[in-house]
Order: sequence, then structure tokens, then C-alpha cells
Amino acid sequence: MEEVQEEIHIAGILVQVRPEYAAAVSRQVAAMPNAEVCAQAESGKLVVVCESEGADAMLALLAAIRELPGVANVALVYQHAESRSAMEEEISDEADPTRVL
Amino acid sequence: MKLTRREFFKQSAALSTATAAGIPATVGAANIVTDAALTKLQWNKAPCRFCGVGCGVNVAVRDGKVVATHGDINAEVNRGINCVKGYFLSKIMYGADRLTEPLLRMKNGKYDKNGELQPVSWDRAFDVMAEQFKKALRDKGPTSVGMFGSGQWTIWEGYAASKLLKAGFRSNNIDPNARHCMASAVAGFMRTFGMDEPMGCYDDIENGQVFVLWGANMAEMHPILWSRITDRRLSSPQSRVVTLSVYENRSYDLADLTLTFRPQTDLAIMNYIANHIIRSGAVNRGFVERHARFMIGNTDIGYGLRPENPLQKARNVADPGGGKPATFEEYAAFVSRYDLDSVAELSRVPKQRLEQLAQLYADPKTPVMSLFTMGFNQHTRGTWCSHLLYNLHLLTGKIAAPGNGPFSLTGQPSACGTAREVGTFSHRLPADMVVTNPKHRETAEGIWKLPPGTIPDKPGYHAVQQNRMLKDGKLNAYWVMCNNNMQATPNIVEEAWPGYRNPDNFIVVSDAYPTVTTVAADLVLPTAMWVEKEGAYGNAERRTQFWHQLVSAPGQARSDLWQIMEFSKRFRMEEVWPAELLDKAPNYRGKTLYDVLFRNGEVDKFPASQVEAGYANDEAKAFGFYVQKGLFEEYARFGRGHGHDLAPFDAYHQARGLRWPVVDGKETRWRYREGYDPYVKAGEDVNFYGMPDGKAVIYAVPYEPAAEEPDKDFPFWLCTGRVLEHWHSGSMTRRVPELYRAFPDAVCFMHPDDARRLGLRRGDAIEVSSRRGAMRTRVETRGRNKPPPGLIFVPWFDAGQLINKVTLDATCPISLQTDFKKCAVQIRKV
Repeated sequence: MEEVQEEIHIAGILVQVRPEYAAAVSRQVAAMPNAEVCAQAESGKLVVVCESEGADAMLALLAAIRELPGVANVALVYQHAESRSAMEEEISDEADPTRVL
Repeated sequence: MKLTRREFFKQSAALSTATAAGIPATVGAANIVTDAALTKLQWNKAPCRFCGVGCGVNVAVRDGKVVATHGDINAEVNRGINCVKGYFLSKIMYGADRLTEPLLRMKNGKYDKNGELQPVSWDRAFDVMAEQFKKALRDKGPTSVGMFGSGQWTIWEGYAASKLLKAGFRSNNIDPNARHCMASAVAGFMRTFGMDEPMGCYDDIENGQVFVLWGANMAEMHPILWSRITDRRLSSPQSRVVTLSVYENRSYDLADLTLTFRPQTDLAIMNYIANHIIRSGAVNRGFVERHARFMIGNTDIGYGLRPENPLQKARNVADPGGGKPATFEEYAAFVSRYDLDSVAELSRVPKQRLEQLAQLYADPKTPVMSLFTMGFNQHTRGTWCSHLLYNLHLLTGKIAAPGNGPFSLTGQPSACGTAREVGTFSHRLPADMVVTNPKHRETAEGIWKLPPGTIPDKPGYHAVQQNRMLKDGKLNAYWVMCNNNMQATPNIVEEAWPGYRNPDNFIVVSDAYPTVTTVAADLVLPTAMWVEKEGAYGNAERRTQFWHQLVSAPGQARSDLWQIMEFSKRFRMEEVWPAELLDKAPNYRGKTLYDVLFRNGEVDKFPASQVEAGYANDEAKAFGFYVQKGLFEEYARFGRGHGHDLAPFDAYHQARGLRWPVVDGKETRWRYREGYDPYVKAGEDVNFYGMPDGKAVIYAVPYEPAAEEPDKDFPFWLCTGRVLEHWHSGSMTRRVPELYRAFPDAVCFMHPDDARRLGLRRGDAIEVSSRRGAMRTRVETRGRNKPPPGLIFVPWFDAGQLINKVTLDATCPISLQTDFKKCAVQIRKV
């Protein structure tokens, strides 16, 4: 197993919430330091982007969201990880491809 | 526009997720993650390596290594979504202890059953292995060799293995680990409909209204399908979710109605619902008269234990699948004894909940999709469970239509595609044919170009029987491929371990990683996995999916397909077939099994040059022809033209899978239904054409007790199963450090009152023991699973805590599948 130091993880997750809890869950997720609610559908679905240091912290964050009252399911859609220094680099359409991932 | 990479990836995450969620403002950003211009990664499609849902993933390769995976937004199954195991899918091939060279047990440079595992060349490995197989064949004949295969084999691997055993060695002693997993579902489908696998598909979810989970904890075991059901439940106010289980689990969170029942009483609950349907006048008479007939099944059929076990003194132990035709009135009389009061008492489910569930099935206007998996299949009356559920759908006509029908979920990625469709069971041949039917053998012998009488006419040893026969010294040369049976099999202490270590036996295990099973082996063969080879899987909705080889296997690791074919070169026909058989095919004299099975003018029909440009194919390179295509096209001949049609090979490399039967390039979403299934003619409406009379069978079968129930000495029910983070025996997922840490060790979930009565606190070390064996674990009184008093749940993924030392090797006498969900145990603090 390749050990990666100082790895930053970014994940896009779909949080499925019972509609009556949607507003409360949205507030609670937004209050979490590493989670951001990017979009919300009327049916109670939240689009949340999470960032963490390391995969373990990401799993813990997803588990914390899963445990909120009214949350029926947390589904993972997108994930990406790379070193902190790489994350700080600027990119444009001509980004140096070899640094990705 | 300048932005940091962090911002870029966060935007990508938001857009991808919104697209997968179907939030329209973001359409157009769907494929941003696969934009090769931005990432310079080579992306390809593949089905996920884990469960039977068959999610599509995009796999990124850089410098010959898989570096990332994403849910495939273009895959109909999962529409871009992944589960937590999928998050780490790219890491499963890169565990530090990957097996990279053959290992033979040796002392002083020679094979010795009591020696240590030491590296050898493939040549040496196959020399010793061939010698052992030939010795067994010479001394005791074909019944002394066998193979234990897998629902994780690719389609062509299972097909090649089946051919090697049934045609080559002339032994039907080949069974897949799917016997532990799906056999009851197969038996149920075959006996009721005459054809295996669900009539519907995952689209039933979006078309459905009521979803009933019979013993399936989909929230953890099938998370992607669960997210589809969750979506349906939350977006459709009239929809309902019902969960039935022997303990509360995560699927209860979404449920509108929950029924926690005493183990084994699902049989009574379903008979009660049938009784309710009849008494309330909800039988769809027209449907039943045109499309169903009735049978009363044999009862008192034993528990699939060794013959000397007192439980095998049952009346119908010799004919567990038998029965006699019946009328509707006889069937109605049979179920009439399952009244609400007695079933509530037996099952310990409140009457009101039983009634509510019965009403959902009975209401003609409410579509019902019933989902089941191991809770039904791993059951000493597992085949009956399938029948009793089909009865509810057949009585009401709620079947084979969008949103309506029973749906069998699967645990392995190709339990359907390989184990079931290819027919790698000890009694089956491809396309639902069986070795006991002379016409089916004739068909197989025709396609395989074999003389009549090549394929033996008796079923071989099934999974549990293989262990018993190893122990008894009747099965002596044995090859385990693509599974970890020493951890997965029941009653390890009394049956499996003594069988593998019996000095009369030679045990070969092919795997990618060291496991409990390789520890018990005499020869370990290192195996290529997943996208290290070209592959094909078939998922639970009849969807056949292909992938290309994307990377090379490490060291000397080779695919199971290469191993099977290369090994077959070691046998001359005179060494495996008797003279009388060879007299019928004199042109096979002097040839090898490889020549007869794989250079037969069919398997070797397509040149290696047909492999799609840009992809490696180690097997085509090794054998000089497009092995996978040849095997697939030969195999597909078994099913084309009678309801099992597969598309041409090349179509699958383009499509995100196709659901069979594929006729004129079109897949089939709902079988047996006019307008959806090309095999149903205009005006027929519904035709269960797997049966000669086109009618499905409603079986009257009763509640009978479990093989072993709690008593004074062993007062707890033990139920085993999985957890979200780990897949099966954990041989892949426990090598992903993050998944390992997320759920490192097995625990014993129990009710806090039980813990208190035993003087136990959360985290205490305990010993769980049965009449057969014991294991140590720790108490968990909180968390995701909440058993009722009197029942414990222990997952089986942990090689350091083998719960299958404790389980009982009782099986459904019809399907021969083990019941891993019920036996009696005691608990003590250690």
C-alpha cells in the first residue's frame, strides 16, 4: 500500500433526507466545519461537498452526517485526493496534467 | 479563469453530485471528472468488483496502475453513485501482501503435506498438481476430483472450469460458493417458473410503490439500490417501505412499517398473508386460472445434515422436492390454519403490523416489489421461502410488470452471470439445463463436440458435501478458486478443516491474497484480479457487463482462466477418459484436454488480432487466439433462441451492460409480459414459458421449525452476515487500510438487557460457542444493529474471529444451501 502523507480528500455526496427534516439537516450539515451544502432539491436531497485530511476523517464525516436525525441515506458520488501542496496550486485549462491525482 | 486545484475539485464534486441527483441546473458538467484533457488519465468502464448490484465505475489508469475510480454517470445501475467500498475500489489490487508466485508445501525440496509453503515455478506447481489429480483419477476415478468455484469468476472462467470438470475430468464435483449464497433462489425460480432469475429489473424501483424487504438489509448490503429506493420513497408520497428482519438494522430508518420476527417464522407470516388474500377475496381469479397451477409440496424433509444425524430420520428425506398436484380449494384449505392470532403468537409480530402488511399485498391497486437475499436464501427452508413469496405475487397477479414482482438480490458480482447462467453448480449445465436430463446432456455434448455419454448423469458433490467427502477421504484432488471457503463455510472445526488437512487429499487454492483458505492449502496459485484481465460479470437484473484488461497482474500472478486452460494441457485424453469413450471419438486419441476442450474449432475461432486496439489481453497473448470471445460465443449457443439470448460478444464492450434475453439487439426489462418480452406472443398477456404449460406453480408448503433452536444450554439464536465496510470474508476490503480501520474487527451485536443479565459491558471479551465450536469476540450493545433479546448478530468478515467455527452445516434439503442465519449458542465472559 502506497502511503500518502498530508492527503486532502474532497468528496461530493448526496444526502437523502426525510422532507420534514430537510431544513434542519441542511443547517446541521452547513454548520459542520468540513462540509458545504451546495444544492438542495425539493424532495429533500442535499448536494454536499466535504473536505478532510485523510480518508479516515472523510469516513468519520460521512458517518456523522449519516447519523443525523432524518437522514435516510448518504450516497457517494465523487471523490478525489491529493497532497495539500498540490491542492493549493492554481490551474487553468492548460494545467500540468502530471500533477493530477 | 484561474482557480486553485482545491476549488476546481470542489466544483467538480458539486456538479457531479448534482447531476447524479438529477438536479437540472447543472446538466452539462456531467463528465467533468472523466475529462482526459484535464487529467491525462486513461479512463475506462468496468463493473465494480464487489457485490451483485453491478454498479458501473470509471477506472483511471496511470503508468500501468489503477489510481482512481468514480461511479459511472452513464451506468444505468448507479448513475454516478458509489458506496463506501467503491470509494476505495482502486486500492484493492495493491495490498502489500499480494500473492505473486506459486507456493507449494515442501520438506527437503519435495512436496510434503506437512511441509511449509515455499515458492515454486508455475511449471513445478502444475507438475505436482497434475500428478496428484492423475493419481486420484487412476485410483478412485472421476468422483475423487473436484473444484470449488465462485460467483466472482468471470463468465468465461466459470465456463472453462465447468467444461474442464464436467467434460474433461468427467466429474460433476464442481460447485460455486454461490451455493452458500443463491442456491435457494435458483431452486425457487426453477420450480415455480421453470427458468432462473428475476422477471423484473431495477427499473421496478422507479415504477414501484411498496417495497418489502424480506430479511434483506439493503441499506448496508446493497447501498446503491437502497439509494434508489430511498429516492423513490422520498419523492413519491404514496410510496411505502416495509422491512422484515430478525433484528433491527439500518434499513429500518427509512421504513414505514417494520416487522421483527422470531427466526424461521417468515414461513408462517407468508402463509398468513396468502390466507388473508384468499379470505378477503383479493385473489386475482382470472390471472390465477390462466397463469398458475397448484402443488402440495412434501413436508418433513430433514435438514441436509449427515445421514446419521437424528434430524435426517424425517419422513420425506429421500424426496424433499416432491409433491402432488392440487386444486385452488385444497391450497386454500392448506393455508387456512395460518390465522392472524396463531401467526402473531408464533412470530411475535404484533397483529396490527401483520395485518397492515397483508393488506398491502392484497390491495389490487397497490404495486408491490418484494426484495430478498440471504435472509431467505440461507435458510433450511430457503426454497420454500421463495415459493411462499411467489405465491403472494401470483395469487394477486402482481408480477412481471413494472413495479410489481419478487426480486432476488445477489451478493456476488457474477452470482447470476457465472454461477447461475453458466451453470457451475454440481447439477447444472449452461442456460438452466441440468446433468440429470438426457436431452440437456446431449445438447451440451453436441455444442462441446463430445461423444455421447461423456457428461456424467448424476449431480456431483455440492458445497457442504464436498467438505464432508474431503473429510471422509472420498474427494482427494481439490481445486478452490476465487473464494475463501475456509472462512465462508459452515462448521469449520468439524468438517472443513479436517477435510482440507486429511493426509489423503491434495488441496489447491488460487487467490490474489493469503487467506484462511490458502493457509489450509497444499498448493497456492497467485491470481490476477478484476481489471488485470478481460472480464464479464452478470448482475442481479440479468445485466451482462464486460470490461477490458486495463493493467497487468503483479509478478507471476495469472488469471483463473489462464490457470484452467494451461493446466488442461497436462492431461492426455488416455489419462482421463476410458477406452470405451475414446472409441467413440477416435480422433481425440493422443490429444490433450486442452486440444479437445479449447482448441475445438469453436473456442479458438477468433484470432488474437480481434482484441480491441489499445488493450492488453494476457490470455490471447499466451494462447494465440481471442480466448474470451471464443469461450463466450460457444457458451452463448446454449441459450440463444429459447429465452436466454445473449448479444454478440462485441456489443458488450460498447454498452453499459445489456439485460438478457437480448433479441434483435434489444434487451428485456420485464420477462413473461406481453409488450416487454419478445418471447410472449400478442394476446397472451402473460406467459411463464419456462414451464411447458406456460403456468407458474403455487406451492403449498408449511412452517417447520429450524434445525437447531435455542434451549437451556445454548439459549441464544446466532445470526451471521455482513457489514457495509467489508465485502464477504474481507480478503479485499480488509487490505484497504481505511476500510480496515473503519470496522477493524468483528463484534457481537446484542441487546443491552441480555448483556446486563450476563454481567457484560460494551467492549467486554466474550466466547460465543455452539455444540460444534467456539470463537472469541467483543460485546457491542449500540450501533447499527439492534437485536431483540435472545438473538445475537456476528459478522463473518474477520479472519481473526471465525464465526463459522460456531455455525451449523444444515442446509435446505432442496437447494442444498446452508442456513448461516440460525443456530443455538451460549455466551460467556472471558
